[in-house]
Amino acid sequence: MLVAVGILVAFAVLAFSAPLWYGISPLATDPAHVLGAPSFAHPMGTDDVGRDVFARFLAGARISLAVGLGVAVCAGVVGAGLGVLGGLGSGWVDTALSRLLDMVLAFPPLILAMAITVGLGVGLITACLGIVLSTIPYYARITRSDVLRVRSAGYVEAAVALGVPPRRVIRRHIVPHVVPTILVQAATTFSFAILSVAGLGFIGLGAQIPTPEWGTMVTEGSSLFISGHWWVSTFPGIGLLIATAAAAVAADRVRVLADPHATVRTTLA
Amino acid sequence: MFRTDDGATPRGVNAHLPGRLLPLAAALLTAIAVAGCGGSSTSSAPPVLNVISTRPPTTIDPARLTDVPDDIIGNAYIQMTQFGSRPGPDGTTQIDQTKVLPYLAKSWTSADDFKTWTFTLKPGLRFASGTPVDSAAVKFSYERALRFISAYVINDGLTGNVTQIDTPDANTVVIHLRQGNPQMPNVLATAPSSIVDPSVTQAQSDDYLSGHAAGSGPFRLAQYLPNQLMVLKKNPAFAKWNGSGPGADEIRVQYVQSDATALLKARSGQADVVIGLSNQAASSLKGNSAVRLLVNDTSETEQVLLPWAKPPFNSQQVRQAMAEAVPYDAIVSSVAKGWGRLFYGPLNPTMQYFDASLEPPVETNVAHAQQLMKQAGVKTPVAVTLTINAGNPIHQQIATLLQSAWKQIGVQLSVHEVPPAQYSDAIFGQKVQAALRLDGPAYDEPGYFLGYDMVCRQNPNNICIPGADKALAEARASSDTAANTARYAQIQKLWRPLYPKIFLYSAQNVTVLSKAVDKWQYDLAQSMSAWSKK
Amino acid sequence: MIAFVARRLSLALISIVGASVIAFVILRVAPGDPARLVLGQFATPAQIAQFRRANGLDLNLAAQYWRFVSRFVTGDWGFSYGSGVPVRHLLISRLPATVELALTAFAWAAAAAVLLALACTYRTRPRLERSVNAVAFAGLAAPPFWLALLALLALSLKIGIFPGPDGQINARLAAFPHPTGFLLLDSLLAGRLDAFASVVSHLVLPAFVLGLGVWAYLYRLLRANLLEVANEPFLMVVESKGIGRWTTFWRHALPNAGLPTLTAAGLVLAWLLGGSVLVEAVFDWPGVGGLVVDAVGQKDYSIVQAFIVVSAATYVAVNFLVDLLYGVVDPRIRTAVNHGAQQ
Repeated sequence: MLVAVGILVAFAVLAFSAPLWYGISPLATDPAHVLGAPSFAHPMGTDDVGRDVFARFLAGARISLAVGLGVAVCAGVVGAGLGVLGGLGSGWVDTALSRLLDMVLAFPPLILAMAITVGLGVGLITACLGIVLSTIPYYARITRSDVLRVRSAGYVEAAVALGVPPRRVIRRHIVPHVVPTILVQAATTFSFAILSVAGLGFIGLGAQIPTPEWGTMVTEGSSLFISGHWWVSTFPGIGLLIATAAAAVAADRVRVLADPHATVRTTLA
Repeated sequence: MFRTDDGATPRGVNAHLPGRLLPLAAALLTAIAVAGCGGSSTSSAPPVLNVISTRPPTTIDPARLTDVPDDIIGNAYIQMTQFGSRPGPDGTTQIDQTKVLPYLAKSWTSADDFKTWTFTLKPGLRFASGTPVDSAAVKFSYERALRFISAYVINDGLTGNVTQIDTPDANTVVIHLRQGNPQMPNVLATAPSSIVDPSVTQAQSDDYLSGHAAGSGPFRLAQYLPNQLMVLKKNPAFAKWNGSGPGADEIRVQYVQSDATALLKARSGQADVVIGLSNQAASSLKGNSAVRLLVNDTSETEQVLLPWAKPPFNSQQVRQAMAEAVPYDAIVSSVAKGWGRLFYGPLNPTMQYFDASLEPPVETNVAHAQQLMKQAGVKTPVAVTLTINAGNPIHQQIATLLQSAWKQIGVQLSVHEVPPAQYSDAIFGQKVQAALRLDGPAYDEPGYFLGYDMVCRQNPNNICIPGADKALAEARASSDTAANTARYAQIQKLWRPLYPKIFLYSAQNVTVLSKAVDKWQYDLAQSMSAWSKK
Repeated sequence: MIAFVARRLSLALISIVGASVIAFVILRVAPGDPARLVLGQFATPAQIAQFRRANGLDLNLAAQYWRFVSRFVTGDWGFSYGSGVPVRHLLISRLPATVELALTAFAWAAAAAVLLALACTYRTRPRLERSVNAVAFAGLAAPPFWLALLALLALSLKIGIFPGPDGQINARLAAFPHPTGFLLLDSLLAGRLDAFASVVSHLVLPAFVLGLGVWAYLYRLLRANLLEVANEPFLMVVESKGIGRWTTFWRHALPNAGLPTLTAAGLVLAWLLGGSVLVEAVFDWPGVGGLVVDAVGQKDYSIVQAFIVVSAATYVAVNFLVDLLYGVVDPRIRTAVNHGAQQ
């Protein structure tokens, strides 16, 4: 739906242009006005050190959108590539790849990302790297199973028998069937990446002070939420909700567009 | 294929199945919820005191206690002496570590040089195993502690001070010190000085006591799930021997993982005592009529370490400038929610010999700080990395405020959040440029404290004030209060002008009590004998 | 068949060993010294050296790994200095809580995903479909931690139907034997229906919060695949043969669409079994999530190592199950596997 894409674009434009039209800095502390409720001066209130939540919301949008997109794209490209490789490759390539992916998948994602962050030094970049590495196998595995399914379909065998070069077989026959699943996965990864960075932030391993990042803002605001200061956590939470939901809807639409057999069918009948 | 949307009943599956299931599911859920929520059967068992804490111990072996939350196990053991108490806020009491009272030892004497101490024990107490709590048990416990980290406490910070422990008979213990220490009885009241059961301890591996208790204190450890639950039940043998037992028959300490959870439990009235609630959360309970908020002074101080060995902190003017640029009032009101005491000097306001006139807080004066930075000749902007312990919201807030404040004097602060293992290593291994730390001694005798916080080459801040060290050594060897007052005054006077580190505020501890709590005593080491519930 | 199982087992072992090696290396390489954390400020150099020696930290990496493996297989999983008890004891006492929560969340999420995907694609139901889709998108996007707090505030504090962050069971009802560690089972075995009811009521909110994202993910995946399959020519062939709609759906469409969803379901289950730290923290659930996260930060190696091995083994087991189900669901893959095995 154009609405969904529109929302995302609007977010992005608002967020990235924020320094031009919104004067308050996301980093300016104001201990005299800590935890102020939303008002004219501060449309989304102030946080526990007096910073303007709206400014941080916009700055956080920049970061969260970039993180979500970056991780989804990086992990998607690498993961899907590996998945196609495994699905199409000969027996031992598939097995070796599967073993390697299994080793990584065997980790609970947060733990792997934590270990990498702790190992390489704490910060947003290493956090993203850790999440990319822990998400790649999901893409790879799901793509591989899709490729396997398609590979055994008659028309692929036919194409190969007809002498169509492998690259063309991949591009014209495999990829279109694999793309829908990847897109669904990408939408999930978008939100998973943002929430994982937030989770790492909860343990102090994500975005470093004073970087505003939606997920960290939600977790930092959680106990404030209980004590009645709902705005610190709620607004970034809503931002997360809208952005990821819009991404999912948009991905869904792209999936339908990319499907070579797409018609207006919406049931199995 | 065509859509057969003609309203005909589909073949096979009953398309209305989900519809039928829903009310049934709802009914089932409601029944379960009501049953689960109601729950409590009325019994005539004595009331259980429910404690919620956010700071679980990492070990309960008296010989290996490292941090204040570990001291809770002192409740399951007896010590040679115990601390007295003094009145606290709102009708409660608090532990007074300057008053030492008999406990296992009914009396004690020492030689004039304080190098030999003779304790006479009160006989009759036995461990659960039947082994008597006598001088052999005391000797065993202390020698064991001296092999592990608790040696520092038993020696009162004077390494290797306890040279020999003799047991001339079953009820007499003689302790020989290398250097005279009038504070010995006070030291022996702390949790690391607990008396453990020799027979049980020797029969098990060294690690056994880290997860089990073998004591004879006012309580016995009925159940311990690390990081989850500790159940202490009244020990009848102790009550009989002592003449009276603890106020509560059973205390359940539940350790929760997050501040939000602790706050929810405090508000719902499920907890009688809530320990370790953040100031922010506690301040939200201020108007709540179901709970009482008790504020006690502690010797724990939020501070910024400025190691003298690392530039730019090797310049006194830089240190002073940074101290003067800090917005102390703003930090106390917005971070500590008003529950912090401002001071500046080597001794914490709760300690004996603290003199408020010699340790007034630093006045925030940004203009003067800027001048000092120029005088110091440091090229601005100076990059400083502040290391803080991950996941600590107070540190996060303080660090953020410091970042803004120090920008004004040309210090570019980058905040580095690190996980606990790295944090400890960084501070004690002296691998940081600057760090935020909440620190305070569990045993707040000034000599003990300054022994690790100020003495040359023995503190993580590289503080070295030879004149102060000399005065400290003299004060620790003497029991003359008047002379010691003068000595500590001298220390305070020597320390302050050097601005050795930055004290942000002395943390006041906030405990939340329900209306059901009858008697309560504050102790940083969480001794619970005096607690009782209506 | 035996060859298949044997081959899978050996591959499984490789996965587990590989995962543990990765964990081992990353943790050891990271900065920070557990000795300082455990021993505190006043540790003497001699005590630190003794601690390192006692824990094998003075050996080289390969020797340390061998030490870990050789002890692990004999049942000595090390000692946790952050908790003061042996690791095996700690993990065994805390794993069942996480597993119980994970399985409950998975069960409702998977069942709901299949049912709703079925309901929305079997017949045209645009209104239902739109609302389910909306909820699915929201479910994917909502931070579980935040959702948990909201749920607690709304349903527990304000309305009071469900208990607060009180762990698995009302403490007053917990005094019965726990042979398996799974309180749902144990309470039934002990004949304590009141305890059972308490366990269920404590499970509802966390399982719901944890399962919502899982449900949304599986639902959307299954629906996407079903719709794709709906456009396949072979379905037209099947229906033109006169086979009924339900049979078409159940025996032809669903198996084809179900494979990627099955894979995803397996991955998700394995992920859930690994413990969800943040949700467990909010509900004060006595599971492994928080334990392991703390251990990584404290460099409590033994816990993390043991946990990685257990979690890898779980993951491998779940995938084995998924692969078996693959064969059941899709005969073509069964043949392909057999052909592959014969090569």
